[in-house]
Amino acid sequence: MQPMSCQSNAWLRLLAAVCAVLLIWLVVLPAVSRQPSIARQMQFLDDRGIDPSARFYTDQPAGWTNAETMQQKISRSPEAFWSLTVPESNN
Amino acid sequence: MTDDGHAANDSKSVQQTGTETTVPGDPSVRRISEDWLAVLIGSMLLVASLLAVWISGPIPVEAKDGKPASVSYENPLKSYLGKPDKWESDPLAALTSNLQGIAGACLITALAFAVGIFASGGNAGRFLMAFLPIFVLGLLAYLLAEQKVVKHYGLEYALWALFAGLLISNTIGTPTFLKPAVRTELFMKVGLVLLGAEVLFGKLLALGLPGVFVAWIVTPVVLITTFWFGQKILKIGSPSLNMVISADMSVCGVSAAIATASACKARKEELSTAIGISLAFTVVMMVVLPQIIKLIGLDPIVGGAWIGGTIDSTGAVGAAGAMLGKEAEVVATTIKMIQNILIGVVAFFVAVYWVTFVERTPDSKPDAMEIWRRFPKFILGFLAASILMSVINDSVANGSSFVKAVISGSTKEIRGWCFCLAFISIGLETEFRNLARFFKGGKPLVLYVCGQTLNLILTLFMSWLMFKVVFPNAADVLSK
Repeated sequence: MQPMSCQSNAWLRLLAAVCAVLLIWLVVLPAVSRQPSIARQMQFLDDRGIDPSARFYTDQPAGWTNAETMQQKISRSPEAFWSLTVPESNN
Repeated sequence: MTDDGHAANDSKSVQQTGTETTVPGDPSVRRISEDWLAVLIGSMLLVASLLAVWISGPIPVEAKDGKPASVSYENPLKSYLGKPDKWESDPLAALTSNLQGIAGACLITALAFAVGIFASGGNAGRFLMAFLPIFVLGLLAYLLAEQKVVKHYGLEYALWALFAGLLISNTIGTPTFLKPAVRTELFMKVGLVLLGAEVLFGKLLALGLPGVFVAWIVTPVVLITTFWFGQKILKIGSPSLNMVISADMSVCGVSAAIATASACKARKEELSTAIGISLAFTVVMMVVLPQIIKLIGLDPIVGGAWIGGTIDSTGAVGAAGAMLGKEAEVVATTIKMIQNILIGVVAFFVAVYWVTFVERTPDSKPDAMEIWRRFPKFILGFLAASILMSVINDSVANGSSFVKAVISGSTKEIRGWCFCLAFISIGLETEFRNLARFFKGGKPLVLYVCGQTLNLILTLFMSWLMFKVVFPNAADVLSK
């Protein structure tokens, strides 16, 4: 069993870490997000339905629509994607 | 212990074995193995999602904009499954705006796991008592990840879930009452079975032959070469650490790391190490690679394929591709989608390779029964879910709409929660000093940098060869 002073130190360390997290997430990051250049970049991706933190294509809002766009393009010209182009000989 | 932190039997693996195991904090005897338990719970959740969409039935869609009349599907579970919304400065609003979805996710995952644990002979009551605090930690991790700036740089919830767990275990220590719900392997394997439902094999051909060459050829070549380099040149002591970093870097980041870590029975610290390196490099590559492409004046289609094949994380690929324009974004996300689908194939072959070659003793060759005994059975659940959903998607009338409703409405959210809870559990079971020793000597970092360099060179060459030499018409069609 840990002595009482060790336990208090452990709780103090946890409290300090939680305070640091609160400071960063509630003060620093909101201030960063209001920076015009960052705000513009975030809006740019929002408008295109892109989530930079997506883990899998199904997490990406634009993922399904991009796949449909691709399918339409391929179905219009399947030979462009499935037929090998042999470079023409100069002779 | 070697300089890259390999130590035998000093830490539990992400995937213990296919044989009987005991519940952490619960010594009661299991009736079924953890792998089969994961398949059972994952199947239950998938079948419930399929039934919910099937029972709610198709919704007629009128002909519009030249498109013929058709039907679409909706998932009635969608409003009962969710996570906190994106937020800038008010996390409480992000919580309350989706309270029903969060409460539903808690209830559904708690019940599904409790039923599974009860069926396997475990103590479901003790699990449920411990589950709520673990879920609250997961909720906090999601909140940290959903802050706009954090999200913008692709720092996903896995990192914050790990951080939340580590913070507790390395300050006050993981309380004993939480241990019945600290179920890393189970959460991860159920998440993987559900991820299988999103692996639709038809998508492998989504970009025709150019996509096959860029994703199917380059990715396995980079994976195998990096693994070989780590074993033979860098002499990394732990093959599983080597494999998880190689797969994470060459396939698609965190999802691939989770799948291969489970397939090759990597230690939890090895998975955490691979994910930490990958996320750090992803942020850098997401910002730098589009700038390099613009600087050298590379064709956007070739550039998009290069981005799709090299940046680890799926989200970061979309963001980097969009910087080059819509065409590049579509190509980049399609290449990454094909790599996403490769997870199933990679996980299966890694599992087979591991039980056949890595785990065998020098003086004996394992027979078929031994290979089957060691094989991580949850991979079968992963593949079965993948095959079922692929067949529905490609062979059933309106199957793609049905599958999309099942995935988007429920399985995707539950899978996300499973992985989040798995990383909370990893954090709660990990000490900083155990994690730190995996970075000693810098070999994992060197492996990642060398592998990624090869990946960048080969993918650029293949993208140029495919879209400029062999299939120039494909590039023209994509540019229109």
